[in-house]
Amino acid sequence: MLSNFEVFQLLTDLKEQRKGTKNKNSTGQQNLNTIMYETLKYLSKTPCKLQSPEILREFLTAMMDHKLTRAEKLQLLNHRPRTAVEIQLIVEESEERLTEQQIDELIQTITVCLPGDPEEEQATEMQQEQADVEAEDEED
Amino acid sequence: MFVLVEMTDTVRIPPWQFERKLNDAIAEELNKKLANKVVYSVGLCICLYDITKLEDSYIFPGDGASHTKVHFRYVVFHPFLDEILVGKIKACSQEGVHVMRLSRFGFGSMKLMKEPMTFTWILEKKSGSELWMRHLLIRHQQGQVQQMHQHLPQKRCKKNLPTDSQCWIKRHFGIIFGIFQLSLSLSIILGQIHDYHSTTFVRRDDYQIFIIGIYK
Repeated sequence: MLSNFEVFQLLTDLKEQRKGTKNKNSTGQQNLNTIMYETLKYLSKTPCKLQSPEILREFLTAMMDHKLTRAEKLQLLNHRPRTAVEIQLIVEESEERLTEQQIDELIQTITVCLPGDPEEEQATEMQQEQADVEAEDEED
Repeated sequence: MFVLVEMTDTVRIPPWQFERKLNDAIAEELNKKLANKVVYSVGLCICLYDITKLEDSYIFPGDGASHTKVHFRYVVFHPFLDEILVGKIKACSQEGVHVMRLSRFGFGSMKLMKEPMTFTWILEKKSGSELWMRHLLIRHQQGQVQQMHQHLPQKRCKKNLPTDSQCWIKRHFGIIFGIFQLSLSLSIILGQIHDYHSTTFVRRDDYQIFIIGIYK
């Protein structure tokens, strides 16, 4: 099984290689071009764009204590869940296997180990600030 | 989502490409043959990962080209059962009964055609007026009709569904992946619910679609 990041790396390397060659647009190569373009476009919108081999290694060592299956770790890596709901989706039977505390720990590890999309994080911060301001207004 | 598949094939290199390095010529031929194509019981082939072994090349009488048996590994798009994928809804029609057409990053074979399905939406309190359905779980199954039900908050319904690992392209149905981003404005606000799970099982001939998590 390959992670999104590995495929992303492979395709970017392949693209670099093919930049030099001359016959990219021949009819035979159209399929490869199409699939590469589409896949790269999709993957660049996922968290895998910001990952690196060291980050992967770190993440996997951190995950070793939690006793998750390979598929679950892969999905956590590819999706970078931020809420408990997402983790419950990814991890099967999470009610039986993980306590609430463990789920929180998981979220913490993920937020720490895996880099997130900087724009999204700004947006969530702003939302939180707004919520705080509203809460204060209510108290007053 | 992606799997490495080991395959073997005999590659034909025509004489006018003899000047190129064998590995490069073979890589190009393999990509030409397999990229962006769906192989039965395997998946959608993306690109060549590496060549494991090259056997001797032969030239057959009557044909000037060389034939080489190659063992190689190919990157294939093959989601496993219960995997979560993210995508975008491309189009949909009337409420309640939808004919959805999902094409996620150009995989034309992923279409839900002429099959109506129903969805339930649940609103998470934080989201206010907008509802986003973010995760779609796809299962490829043959089986009995499953019930439609809704969950209460914080509870999850467990169903042991029969699994089927047959080929995932049947006739011209593809596997449907998708994640929907659908915004509706609702005026319903559901109490103090923070996480809300709703699972809807809809049976469609050879495949089922489960909407497991709905939130903003």
